[in-house]
Amino acid sequence: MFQENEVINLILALISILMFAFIFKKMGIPRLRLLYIGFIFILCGYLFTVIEGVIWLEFFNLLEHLCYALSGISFAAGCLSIIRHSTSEQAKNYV
Amino acid sequence: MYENIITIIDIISTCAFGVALLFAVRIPRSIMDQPSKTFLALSLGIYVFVGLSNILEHGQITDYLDRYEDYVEIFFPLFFLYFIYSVITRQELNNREQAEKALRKTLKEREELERIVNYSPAVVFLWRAAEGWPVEFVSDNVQQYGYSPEDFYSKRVDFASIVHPDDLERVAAEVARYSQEGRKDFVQEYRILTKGGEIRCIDDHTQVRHDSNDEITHYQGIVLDITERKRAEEALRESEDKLRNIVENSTNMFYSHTTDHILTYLSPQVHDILGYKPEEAMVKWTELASDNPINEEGFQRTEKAIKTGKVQAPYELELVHKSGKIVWAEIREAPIVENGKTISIVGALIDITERKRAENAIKESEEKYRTLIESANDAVFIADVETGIILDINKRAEELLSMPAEKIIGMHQSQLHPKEKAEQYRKIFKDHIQKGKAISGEDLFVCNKDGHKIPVAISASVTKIKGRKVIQGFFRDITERKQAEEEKKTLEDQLRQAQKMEAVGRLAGGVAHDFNNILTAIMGYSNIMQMKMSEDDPLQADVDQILGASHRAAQLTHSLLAFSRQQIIHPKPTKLNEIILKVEKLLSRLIGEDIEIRTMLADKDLTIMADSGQIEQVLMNLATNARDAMPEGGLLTISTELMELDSHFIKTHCYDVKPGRYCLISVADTGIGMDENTKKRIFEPFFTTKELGRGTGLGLSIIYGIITQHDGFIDVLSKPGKGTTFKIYLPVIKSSIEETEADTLPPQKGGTETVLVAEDDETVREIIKTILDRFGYKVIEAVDGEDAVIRFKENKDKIDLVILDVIMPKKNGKMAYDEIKELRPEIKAIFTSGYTTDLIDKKGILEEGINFIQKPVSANELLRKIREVLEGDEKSAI
Repeated sequence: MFQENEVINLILALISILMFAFIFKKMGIPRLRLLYIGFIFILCGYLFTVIEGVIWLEFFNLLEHLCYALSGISFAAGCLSIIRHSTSEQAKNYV
Repeated sequence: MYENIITIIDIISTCAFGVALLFAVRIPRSIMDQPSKTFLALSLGIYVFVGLSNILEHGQITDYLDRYEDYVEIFFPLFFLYFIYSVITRQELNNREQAEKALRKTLKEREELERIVNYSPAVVFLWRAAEGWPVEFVSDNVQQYGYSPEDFYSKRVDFASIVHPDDLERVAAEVARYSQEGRKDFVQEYRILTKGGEIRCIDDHTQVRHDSNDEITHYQGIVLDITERKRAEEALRESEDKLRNIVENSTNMFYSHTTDHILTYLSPQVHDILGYKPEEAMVKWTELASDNPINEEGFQRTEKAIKTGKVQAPYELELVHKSGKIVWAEIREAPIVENGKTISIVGALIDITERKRAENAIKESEEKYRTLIESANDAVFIADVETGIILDINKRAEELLSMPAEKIIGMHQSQLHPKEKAEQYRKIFKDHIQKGKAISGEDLFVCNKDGHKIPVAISASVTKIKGRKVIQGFFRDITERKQAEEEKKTLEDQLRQAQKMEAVGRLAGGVAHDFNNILTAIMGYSNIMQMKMSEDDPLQADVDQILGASHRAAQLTHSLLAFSRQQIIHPKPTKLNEIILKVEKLLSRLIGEDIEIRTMLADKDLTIMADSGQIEQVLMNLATNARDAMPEGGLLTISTELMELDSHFIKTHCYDVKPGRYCLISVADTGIGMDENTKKRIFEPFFTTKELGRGTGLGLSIIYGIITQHDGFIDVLSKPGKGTTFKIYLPVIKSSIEETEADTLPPQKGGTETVLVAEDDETVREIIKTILDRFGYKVIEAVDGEDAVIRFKENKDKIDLVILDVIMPKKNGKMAYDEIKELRPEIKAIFTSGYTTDLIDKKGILEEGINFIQKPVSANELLRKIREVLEGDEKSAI
C-alpha cells in the first residue's frame, strides 16, 4: 500500500530533481558531486519505499535502508571533502 | 535476522548522517555562507532524526518518533533544494564580485597605462588610413606639441596637417611604399609643426593595422620628440666636421691603431709627411719606422700605454719616407680604454725633421764649441756676471786648479784668486765689465787646490748665453813663461857677470902680458947680474931682493891669468878623492887646531879630467877662506859624491854646462856666512870682505877661473851666521888614469946650436940673447914675425931652434912659425908669451905639440926648456 507521505516525498524529490536539472543547466553545477550522490541515494530510498508497498516488501525495504546508509556516507564524505579543500583556492569553486 | 540487518544498516546510516552533520557545521564560512550551511545541516539532521527513529523503532524501544518521521522527511528535499539554491546564489555572487574586481583592476591598469603614456615623451596616435590621416585616438601628452586631443577628435586637425610641409611628401611616399611592401611596422624621422608653429623633429614608430580582408584600416604610431637629440647630433656633426677640418687641415698627422699596432686610421697628412696615401700606409704602425734602435724606447712607451691604459710622455720616432729618406717625428699618444681594457691607441704625429736638423746642427755646433773649449790649452771659465758664480769650465780648468769640475762649478769666481788679491782683481773685472771692454792678457794669479799660486794671463769678455749675461774667461797658465823670464833674467845676470868677468880677465891678461915682459927683463938682468957677481959681493943681497920682488910680481900676474882663464893647465885623468886626501894633510897645518876638518868621500871612484895642482889650489883657497870665516874655530867639511845632473837640474840652476855625471865637491864651514849682496860679488877679482892686508881679493876669482876652465861650475849656499857651503861640480870621465912619471927637473946646461929669437920687445930680446950667448948658443935676432921669416930663410940650414914671441907686429909668432915650417918642416920651436890667447884654446889647453914658456921666464927655465926641445925625441919635434 502506498503511504501519502512517501508519495509526497517522491513527488517533491522528483520536482527537486527537475529543479536541479533546470538550475544546473542554467547556472552550472557546483562541484558538490558527493552531496548530489547522497541526494540521489535519498531519492532512490524514496522510490524503494514506494515500491516496497507494492511488491517484495522486505527486499525493497532493505534497499531503501541501504540507500539511506549510502546517502549518509556520501554526505559525510562530501562534507569532509569540502573541509579538506577549505584552505586551498580550489575549494572556493565548491560554492 | 532481517530486522537486525535493517537495524545495523540504519545505525550505519544514522552515524553517517551524524558525521556528515558535524562536518557540515564545521565548514568554514569563507567556503560556504551561513544559510547554505544551515540548510545543509537541517537536511542532514532530518536523516539523523529518521535514522534514530528507525533504530528506536526496530529496537522496539519506542515508535513515538515514527509518527513524525514521515512528515519530517518531507522537508528534506525542500531544505536540500534551498541549500543548493543558496550555494548557487552564493556562487553567482562570488562570480559577480570577482568580475567587478577584475573590472576595477582593469580600469586601474588602464589608468596607470594612460598615466604612463601621458607622462612619457612618446605620443600615441591612431589614425585611419584615409586622406589626411584623421586621428581616432591620441594620448593626452600630445599637449607637449600644443595640441589637445580634442583638436584631433573634433576633426579640426588631422595627422597630415601637423607634418612639416617640406617632409609631408616624403613621409606620405614612404608610408605608401611600406604599405605596398606589406610591412607591419616601420620607423620614420620627420619634422612636425607644433600648434605654435615651432618645428620639432620626431621619431615615428608606426604599426599597420589590417581588417579581416587584409586591407589597411589604421596606422598606430608612437611619436617621440627627438629634437634635442637631433640638435645634439647636429652639434656633434658640426663638432666632428670642425674636428675633421682641424685634423685634415693640420700640419700634423693623426692616426689610430689597434693594440696589435695595426693602423686603423691615418689622416691625409700622411701623404705630405711620409709620401704615402692613407690607404697605402694601413700597415703595422711599427713598419713605418726605421730600424734605428732609438725607436725602441718609443715603442716601449706605446706598449706601456696599451698595458696601463695611461697616457705616456711624448717621444721621438725615426720614420722612413716612401722615398727612403728619414723623417723625424714627435709622437703623442693616448690609449682608448673601454671596460678597463685598452682597445686602441690614438696619436698625433708632428713632423720635427727640420727642428731635428736644426737641433743636430746646434748640437754639432755645441759639440764643436765644446771640443774647441775642451781641447783648448787655456782654462776656460764661464761665470754669471751678476752673481759671479762659475757656471761652466773646461777640462784644462780642472787641471789648472787640480780640482774636479763639480767642485769648481758653483764657486764664486773670487775664490779662484788669492785672498789678498781678490779685491784688486774684482775691481779689474768690474772696471772692464762696466766699460764694456774685454780683458786681454791681464797677468793675474789663481790658486789651485793646495793654495799654490799659479800665474795666468787672462783674456775675458762679457757675452750672453741663453739670455744670461756671463763673463767668459780664458786663463792661460804662464808658469813656464814666468819661469823662462826668471831664467832669462838670471841668464842675463849671469851673462852680464860673465861678460864683466871676461872683461876683467881680458884687462888682467893684457896687463899681465906687458907686465910679464917687464918682469922678464928685470928677472933676466937680475940673473945675469948674479952670474957676473961673486958670491960674496955685497950687492948680491940686493939682487936677491930684486929677484924676490920679481917672483912675487910674477905670481900676481899668474893669479890674474888664472882668474882670466888664460893660464896654461895640464888636465889629466885624476882621482878626486886622492887629491882631497892629499890636500887634507896640508890643510890641517894651514887652518890651525881650532878648526876640525872632516872629510866624507864617496865610495865610488870619482875620476875627473883635471889639473890636480889647480884643484889643489882651489881646495886650499876655499880652506883659507873657511878659516878666515871661523875665527873662533868650527867645522870644515869636505865631501865628495857622484851626481847625475839632468837638463832640468841644469836649467833650474841656470848653468852653462852639459847634462851628465858630475863629481860634487862640497866644502862647508860653520862660519859667519854671507849676505846675498856679498854672495853675488865674491867671485869678482879684488873683492874682499877681509880687513886690509889680509886678502888679495883674488882667491875666489882664481877658483872661479879654474873650475870654469875645467868645464865645471860652482855654487854657493850661505846665510849670515849659518856658515857657507861651496858646491863644486866637475864632470866625471871614464878614461883610465895614466900613471905619469914624476917631473924631474933636468939640470940647466948650455949648447952650441943656432937659435933664432924673434921678439918685438927689445929688452926681452936682448936678455934672451945675453943668456943664450952666455951658455954657448949662437943667436940670430929678429924684431918681428916678418923679420923672423926673412932671417930664417937667410939661415935656413944653420938654425936649429926658433924661439918666437906669440904677439908680434906684422906677423904674430904662430903665422911666422907656419911659414918657417913650410921652409923646413922639421924645425923645432918654442913660443913665449905673457898673454897666451893665440896659442891656447878657449879652455886654456895648449895645442898638441906646442912648446911654450910663460913670461916672465927665468934663465934657468929658458935653458932647461931649450935643451928639452933640442934633445927631445920626435914627439917634441914639429
